[in-house]
Amino acid sequence: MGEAELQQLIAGCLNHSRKDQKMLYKAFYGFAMSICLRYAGNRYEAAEIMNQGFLKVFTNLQKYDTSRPFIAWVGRIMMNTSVDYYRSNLKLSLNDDLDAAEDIGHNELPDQKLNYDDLIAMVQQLPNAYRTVFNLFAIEGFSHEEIATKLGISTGTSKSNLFKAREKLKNMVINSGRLPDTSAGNAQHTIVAIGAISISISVLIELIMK
Amino acid sequence: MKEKSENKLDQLFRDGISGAEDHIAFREEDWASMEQLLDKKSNRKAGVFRIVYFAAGIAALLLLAIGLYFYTDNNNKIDPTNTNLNSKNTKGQSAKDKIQPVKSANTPAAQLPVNSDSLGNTPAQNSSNSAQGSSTTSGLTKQQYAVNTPYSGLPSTDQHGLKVRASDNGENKPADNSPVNNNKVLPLIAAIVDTVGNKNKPGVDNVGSKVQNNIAANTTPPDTVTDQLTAQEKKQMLAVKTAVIKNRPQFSISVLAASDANAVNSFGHSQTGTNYGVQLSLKLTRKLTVSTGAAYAIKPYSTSPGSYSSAYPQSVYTTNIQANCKVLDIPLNVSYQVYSKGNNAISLGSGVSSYFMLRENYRYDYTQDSGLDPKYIEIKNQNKHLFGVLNINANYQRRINSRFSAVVQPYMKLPLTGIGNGKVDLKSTGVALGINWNIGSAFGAK
Repeated sequence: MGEAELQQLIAGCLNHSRKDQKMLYKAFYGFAMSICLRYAGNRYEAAEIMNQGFLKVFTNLQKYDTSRPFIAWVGRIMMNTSVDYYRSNLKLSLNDDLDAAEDIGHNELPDQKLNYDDLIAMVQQLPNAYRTVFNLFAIEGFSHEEIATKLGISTGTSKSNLFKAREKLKNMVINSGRLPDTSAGNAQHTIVAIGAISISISVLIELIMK
Repeated sequence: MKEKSENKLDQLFRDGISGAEDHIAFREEDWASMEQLLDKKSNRKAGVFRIVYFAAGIAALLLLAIGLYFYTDNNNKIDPTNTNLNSKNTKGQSAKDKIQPVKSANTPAAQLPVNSDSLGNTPAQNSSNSAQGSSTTSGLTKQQYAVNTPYSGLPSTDQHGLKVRASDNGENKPADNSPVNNNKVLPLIAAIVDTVGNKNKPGVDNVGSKVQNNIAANTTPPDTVTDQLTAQEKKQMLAVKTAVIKNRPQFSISVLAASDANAVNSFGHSQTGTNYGVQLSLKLTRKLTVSTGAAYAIKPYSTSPGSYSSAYPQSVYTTNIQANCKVLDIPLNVSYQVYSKGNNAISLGSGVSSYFMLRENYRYDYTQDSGLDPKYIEIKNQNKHLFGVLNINANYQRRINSRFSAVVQPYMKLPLTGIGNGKVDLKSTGVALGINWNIGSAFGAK
């Protein structure tokens, strides 16, 4: 998209033109989504975060400094929204996995080529706390001090989360070469899900009976 | 070695993940939910205005209530006094003349403790205390209350009768006062005890006469006072007395249970919740009551994703959100009695509630073609809404006996802010049933 075209779209969005908003949204959709996808646990969460981010873009458009690249501004908003989202939902996330520190003997990564979908799926499998730190450190290039301030955690927690994230990812990368043997895991998940649903339903029924 | 391998891992992901824009196809449904967000944003301004309206409404109600408070207060004070004074002037002129000097002579504060002593203690203690000439200071506030009531029309009120007598006692107590007359004090105290004891009983007529007798006994020519008090005067004294008592703040406790309909936005799809609570009421005047309390409420409701503004884990595929919230509700209400006849009383009230969300459970349902299972979320003690809910209620009370009455209270709770994790517009309306226990006056009318 040309610079003039972009300025025209921004001007249209400032006038709350829904058509221009959609054009801008569409133009930056892929870029914004690529950021949100790696911070989120799945595609739906990512879309939620991205829309919250775009809402900030649309409502704060008059604050955008036109001397700087627009895409960088959007990217920063998406990242901050992702971090905020993670922070506000901290109470809902898995904070820790005790087996995360388990040591595996293979330090070397396989040479096989992993595509984008595989990699993003691996990142998304990380617990929220690990994923956020890994993104901020490994992808965005922040220091542990900066991450600690951003997330309101200690640098020690940041380092430990990064370590655990790497361990888990390495594990996944190494195992990705093998034949997937996930049927047992799936069965486990199903059992846990059925258990949770039945407990919730019994609680609901109890409440209704009350 | 390990460091190197970790960096390699970071690099693998950095390279593999970045530049992925082209992998991601635009989805129309994401824009649809984006539009919803944008629409909601413009509605938010209207929400702010709504809060302003509600706030203005509450302010107006409070002003009205305060105004009524002062208005009724003045009426109660002035009317009986005037009539009393008039009757005094025509009939009991000499009695008034006789009493007044005594009273003014007795006003010094040093005499108060003695009087309060006789008010606050049991008959036995009173007589022994006074016989020994000891002066304790307990119950000083009660006495101060009596002293602070307006002067007009007072000689005849019970309190002032007491005051006169008590101050007589006071005169007897200090060592520098010449005639310490125990004979005089003893029967006097007995009489006080009598009047105090009778005050809450139906046969209040005695009080007046006793007061008069006491005054008579202690002012110098006793006969002139008693003789000139007519039956009519006594009645008026009673009127003043009851007015004064009714003006005293009275406490009562209600235990209430309610069943209500909870719904978001409109009551079209409401679900039934339950509430249990206690309510402490302070009756400021005959008509005006301030009440607060605590209620434990279970509020189930279901909402569409459009009304629910927290993101997680909502998506464009969300069809319905089923919620069940346990709420601690702390209300602060003002109510005004609009009708009172016999045993029945009706009052209307308004105020604000603070919601403390103890536990919120949510279930998210998704469309079938999304292939997503329902998701459950529980949030504990995360959200509180201080003065976030407007209360409107009507209150019907039917007296069972002097202490207890049955209460029926239809009410409506309208949120001024978004409630809970989803910031929903959660309304409740229902009827509370309960028992009200009238504890009595804070200033010891007993």
